[in-house]
Amino acid sequence: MTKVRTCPGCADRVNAGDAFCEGCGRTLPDEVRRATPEPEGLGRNGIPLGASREDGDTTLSSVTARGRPEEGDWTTPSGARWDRPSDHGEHVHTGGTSLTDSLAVDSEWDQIDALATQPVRRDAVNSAERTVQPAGAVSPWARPSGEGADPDPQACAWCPGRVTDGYCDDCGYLQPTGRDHVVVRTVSASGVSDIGLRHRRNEDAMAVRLVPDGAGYGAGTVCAVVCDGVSSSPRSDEASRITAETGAAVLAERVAEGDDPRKATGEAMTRAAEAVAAIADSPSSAPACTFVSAVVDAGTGSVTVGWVGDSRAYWVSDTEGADAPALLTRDDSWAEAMVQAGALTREEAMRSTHAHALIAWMGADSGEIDAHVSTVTPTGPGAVVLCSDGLWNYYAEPGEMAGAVPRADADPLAAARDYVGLALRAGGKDNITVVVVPVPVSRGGPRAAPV
Amino acid sequence: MPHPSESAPGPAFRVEIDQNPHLPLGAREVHAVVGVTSETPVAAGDAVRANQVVVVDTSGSMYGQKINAAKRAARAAVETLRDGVRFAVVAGHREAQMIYPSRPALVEVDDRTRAEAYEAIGRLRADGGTRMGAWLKRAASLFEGADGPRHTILLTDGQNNESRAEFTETLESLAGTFVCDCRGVGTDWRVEDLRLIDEALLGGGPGLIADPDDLVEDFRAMARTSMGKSVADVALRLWTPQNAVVRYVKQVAPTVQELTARAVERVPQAGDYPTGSWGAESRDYHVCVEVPPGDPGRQMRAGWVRVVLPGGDGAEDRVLASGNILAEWTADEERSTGIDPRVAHYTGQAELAEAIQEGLAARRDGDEDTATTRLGRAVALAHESGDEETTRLLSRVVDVVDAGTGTVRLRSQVDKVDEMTLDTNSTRTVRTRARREPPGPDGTP
Repeated sequence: MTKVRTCPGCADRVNAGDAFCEGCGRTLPDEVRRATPEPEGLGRNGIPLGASREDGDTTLSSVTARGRPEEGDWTTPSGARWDRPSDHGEHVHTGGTSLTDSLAVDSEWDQIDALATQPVRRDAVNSAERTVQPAGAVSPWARPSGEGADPDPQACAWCPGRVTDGYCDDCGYLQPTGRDHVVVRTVSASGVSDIGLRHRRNEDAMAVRLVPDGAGYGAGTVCAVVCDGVSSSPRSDEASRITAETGAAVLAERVAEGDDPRKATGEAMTRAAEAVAAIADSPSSAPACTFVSAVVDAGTGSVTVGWVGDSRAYWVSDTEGADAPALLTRDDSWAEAMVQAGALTREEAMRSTHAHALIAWMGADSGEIDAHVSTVTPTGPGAVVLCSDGLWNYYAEPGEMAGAVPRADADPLAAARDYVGLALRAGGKDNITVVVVPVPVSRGGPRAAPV
Repeated sequence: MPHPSESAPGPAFRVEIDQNPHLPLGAREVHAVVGVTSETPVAAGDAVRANQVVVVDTSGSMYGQKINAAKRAARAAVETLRDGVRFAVVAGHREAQMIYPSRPALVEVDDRTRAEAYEAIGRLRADGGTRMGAWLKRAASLFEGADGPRHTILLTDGQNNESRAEFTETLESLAGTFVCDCRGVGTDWRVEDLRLIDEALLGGGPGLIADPDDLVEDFRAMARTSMGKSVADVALRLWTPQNAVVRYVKQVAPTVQELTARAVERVPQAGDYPTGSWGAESRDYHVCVEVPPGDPGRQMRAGWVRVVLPGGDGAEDRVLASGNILAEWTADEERSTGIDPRVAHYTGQAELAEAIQEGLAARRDGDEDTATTRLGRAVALAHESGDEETTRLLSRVVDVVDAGTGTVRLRSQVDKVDEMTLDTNSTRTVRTRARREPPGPDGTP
């Protein structure tokens, strides 16, 4: 009882499933071509049943299975994506959260912070991140245990991903090498130093040190230093690093021993200047840098700044009742000297090609340095921003600096990043280094003070 | 059965990336041309691991000169196969009928099987319909479990008599499982049918054989090329950063082939695009990835291209070559506005193929305005890229008034062969001049 199908046009016999009549070429209506399995002879698709056992649908299904992912071969870290570099980029504008901001701070990290006398690469931040994993919660980027808190060279500087061939496996970003991009983060102050867009190396340096809780005096006091290597001098990157490290270490040491912040600052600048002078091969080939430090007293809220050169300290605040933004330093630069002498207006002076020429610096060739020290006790909340000219070139006026990143005191790390991001967007012509110290000094970490 | 040992010289591949990594601030789209070159030595003797199925359309329309030419061509193809290759000959009508061997399996080429195959081919009769999907399913089942390159030659002269839905479904299920080169003889077949097969089964572009007598040489050449393929199932693995989107992956040389939808995620954050079997040859791919914009000066690996030989049975995948597609954001417009010449060239070639296909389709549908516009655009693109062959084929379908601006008039009388040849060849691209030498060992420029 084989059903005979015929073409409605030419009455030629057609086969089940045919799209058109092979006789006249007419497209067949659905009811004619629809392939209902016939009782005998033909299987699905018109393949004779005898053949279909061999090569029909059964084998086809296994053919179909080729190329599919093998089970267990891969995993999708779904549902647990973190903020990507895009967000990092956004965050420069919005001040939104990024990975490290969202992390709770744990005691181990506090200890690391307290000991930090040099910039801590983000690697270490990632290792801190390991320690804050709630027990039992498995993060998609959980690292194998047993790596301890050692900086992990395979951790991405931008996201929780791993690094292969210098690129992150997750976000794809090329990893910074050495000092190209450095982040230092403590429970109170944080800083970011970046190579910028035009320079071949980062000659800026920063150091942040906290006076430990167990110290005799000044527990929690923040000691921060930013140095900008003089690019016309040799090994200026080394100069800035050794100067910043020595400065911050001496500051914290003196304050912990009960020195007045002003006295400590003078001592720190002397020792830092000696340290940088000591690395010179000869006075004619002397590594040199600027210096700006801040000692923010956790108890009194006083801010003592010391400086040589044109790196700056600003007081920034945009909170009602707090002191207005102010520049706490005065550049040792040709432009500033011209202004002070009344020879030029500030605008005229800054337009000069000599504007940034230093009239004082730290280095073996600097002679006797005239260390400036100044102390204020601002009414907060607000923040002290230490920065190299890579930032302040774009936000010279204190009001501009404060307006660029609102509520810098609320999240110092985010603020430091925002400042660096803004400087990069503005052209990034120089190395950019920013340290943000909130006032009053936050003792429980950046998240402890409600915004 | 010899197993490839660690010390055995493996397939040698090279990846070269051409692109301008500099993006304007805020830009997301990264383009690159990925050149993949295989310098694989041709296998011989015991190392032969190739599988060949020849499918000859024996529908009623093949009757006469065509079936006789097809028999000679199939014979020539079998003749060209090296000893040790596993093969089968299938007659395609309303079902796929085993011609040689008679049981549904592949047999090894030797003097006896060759002679038996010639004899079986000689008995082919033209009768029945055209069911390409069924023929291909048969080929797929014959290849089941086969080791090494799997290649099918499919010859037809008529339109596929399967509904588009059924045909597409079949092709989807078979996509990438073996390589199929299609030939249409005469002018009664539909270019689109063969193009669909070619795309799904990674062929070298469908071919039109106007004169049945040319089939023999063509089949011999295809079989010879197929014998040159020694590495099967090569995949192009494209890793992209999180939150990135692969806009497209297209083979752009030697033919244009859309691969975007063929990606299979076998490792996290990466898609494997099947590329079939490789001999000593070179292919180019145009990759477009959308990434989250980065800060100025930051450099990102927007794509990590690896040529991978997937390991079966839980074995490790073998990465044969790799290269980086980079992105770097800059405010410097001079750097960010330049388009890489190779990317520009293939963008033009892909558009050319599209313009030809759309123009011819519009012409068939009687939409003369669209046909004139699209074919005019094709003339301009072909002219611009110095693609003389395509220019010549286009001039048989349109009268070119001004090649530079793409001003054309449709011809009222067009030879069907010319139209079909233009359509069929539209996906073949011309290459730009040879790359700069020499690439790094890992393929990075």
